[in-house]
Amino acid sequence: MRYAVTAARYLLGIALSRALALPGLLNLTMTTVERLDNWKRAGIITDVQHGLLAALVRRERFSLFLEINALLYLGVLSLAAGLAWTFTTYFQRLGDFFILGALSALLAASLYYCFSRTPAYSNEEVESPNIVFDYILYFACLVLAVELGYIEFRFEWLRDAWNNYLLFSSVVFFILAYRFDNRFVLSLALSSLGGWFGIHFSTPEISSLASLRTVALLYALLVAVIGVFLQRQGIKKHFLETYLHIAATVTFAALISGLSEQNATGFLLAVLVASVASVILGLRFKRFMFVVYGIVFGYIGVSYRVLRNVDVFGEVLMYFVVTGSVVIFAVFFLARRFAREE
Amino acid sequence: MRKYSIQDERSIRTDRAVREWTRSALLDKAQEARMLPEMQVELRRTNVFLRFILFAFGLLLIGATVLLVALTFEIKADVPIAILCFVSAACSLIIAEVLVQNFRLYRFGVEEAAAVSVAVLVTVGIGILLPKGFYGADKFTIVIALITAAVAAFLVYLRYGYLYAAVASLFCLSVAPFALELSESMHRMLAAGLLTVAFIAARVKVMENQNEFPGDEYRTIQAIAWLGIYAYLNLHLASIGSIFFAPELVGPFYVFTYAAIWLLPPIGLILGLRDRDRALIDVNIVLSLVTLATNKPYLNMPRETWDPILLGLLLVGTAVALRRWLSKGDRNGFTSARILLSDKRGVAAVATASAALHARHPTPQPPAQPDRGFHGEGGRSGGAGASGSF
Repeated sequence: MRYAVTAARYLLGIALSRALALPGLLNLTMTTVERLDNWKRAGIITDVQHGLLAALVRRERFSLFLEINALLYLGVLSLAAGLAWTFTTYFQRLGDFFILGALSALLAASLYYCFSRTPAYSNEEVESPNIVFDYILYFACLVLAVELGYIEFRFEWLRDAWNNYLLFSSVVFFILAYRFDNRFVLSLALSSLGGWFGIHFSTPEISSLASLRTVALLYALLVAVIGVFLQRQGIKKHFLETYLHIAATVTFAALISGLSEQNATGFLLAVLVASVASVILGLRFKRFMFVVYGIVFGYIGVSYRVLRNVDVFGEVLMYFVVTGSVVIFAVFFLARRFAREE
Repeated sequence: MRKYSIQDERSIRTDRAVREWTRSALLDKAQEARMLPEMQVELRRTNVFLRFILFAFGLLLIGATVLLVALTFEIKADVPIAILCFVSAACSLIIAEVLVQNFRLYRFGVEEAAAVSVAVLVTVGIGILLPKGFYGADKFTIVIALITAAVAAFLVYLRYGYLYAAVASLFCLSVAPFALELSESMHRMLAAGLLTVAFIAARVKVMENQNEFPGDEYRTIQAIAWLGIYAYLNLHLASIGSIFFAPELVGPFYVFTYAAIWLLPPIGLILGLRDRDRALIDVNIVLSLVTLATNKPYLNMPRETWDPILLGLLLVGTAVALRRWLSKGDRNGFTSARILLSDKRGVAAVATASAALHARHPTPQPPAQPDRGFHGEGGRSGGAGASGSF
């Protein structure tokens, strides 16, 4: 009887709301569970699927996956930061032997855990053996960084060439990120590489905003090339987006900073080219974050150049009204053409 | 009152769920293809990124247009400016209604900008009309303006269902007591009291609607209200972020708030776990961490270098213990396993975004031994985020 009532409500609801086009006037609303019931009766889903999906909708099955990940991430970061802070504060009381021994032991134990439990290497995406695995590897990398920092802090082996620690740690992080398929470690590797670029190519003699900008663009280009090359080789294709996000943000930040120069036409042109490329590629591959990069950074770049010589407030407002309207119409068209579904 | 029908709202949510289940391999493509036509609604939607752009540029356009009109017609006196605000608000409302009614936009960004502008313009207009205006520092004006903003934002929520409008409404409402001539403790008690009323009201609605729309909206409002109650009762939030106001309070109220910051997170967690309410669970995990971070300032104890180690061990230990406990048999439906692909995507997004964190706290760093008179500068960029103090 209950099923008959539900089915009747269902058919009546669909028929009336669609045929009469009166959504909202009739209180014939169907819950997700009722829809699942109907799909099961119609043979669209199996009993097992119905059981699982209905349990998800009713929250009878509830995953704490995200929460556990958040606790592990924050815990590992906090632990590594605490170790670094404690060891640099109390190194005289604790002694180098104890500190380096403790850090080496943590590093060795973490890496042993990872190497002993990891599945075989694959160029494809590999699921971690368990939820803790990725964070133990991340912790190992952070401990390695702390240890290298401590060694230079105490012994100054490389002195002025200390930035080579960044290059070394970056290489190690890259290897570990690919071996264990870990995006946290990949981000670590990319930012360490960025640090090395920034410091290695910006010696005090040539240190200036212009040189830093060039270094940043060089870095972004290298990151993008590495990412695309590895993707083309079929090696961890899913990492490409991480490379491209970092390359895009660094590129736009560097180019926008160039707009404050006296002769900035080249930078403006570069911002526009990068923006158009970002929007087109973002739409083509349905990666809409890059569309946002292209539109927002492009608009900031153009507005900065146009408005820097405008003193009349009314003209500034007129500029925002006209360009704001153009952007809205353009994005409205793009949204309807390329991004209809949520 | 609501511009979108319950049927449409539910269809959209079920549509999203079916797509997510398919991505998560709980359904196959053929099943999805048979299910989706049922949930078709005559509403135009877009993804969150384009929605953001349309929203931002919509606000920019409306704001610039109103200012341009004021400038062009040299509207400078209070009353004409207020009238301009009200007329602009009416125009914005018409635009929002037309965009929804005729263009059938749903969470498209541009109609949201128009709707939000209505609340902002009405508030500004009322504020200007009141004695002395905003900048006269008149307490009454500020209270009325905040209450107007709260009411206007809540009406926007009721009409269009924008959750951020409801959150803004709660914020304005709870800030209003701070403009009254009362003691600091009374300000905070009143603010927390108002949010408690909002929490209870939202909770009643959650109970009515459970897992279906609009229950999901009320769950979020409930969690935000709970977060606000805690924020007003924790007097040492400034110790973890300078954006917070640091009052100097002592006595029974201080003790009461200390007890409250220890009681609220566990109570909230219990409620969240009992109701399987993710918003409430997540908010109370954050609040638990904030309580731990503000405990020492509350007790006027110095922070130690090993505090982060203890916190890290606690968090990792809790996570590992929870995972082990969940993996041993049936735990009333709770699991540590990933069910939906969106969870994995969320973790991947955090991993990518963590590059920004590493860039701010570099490692390794150059030698900076205190006895050698060197002071590290925190580095320029890159590194592992663990030793910014080197």
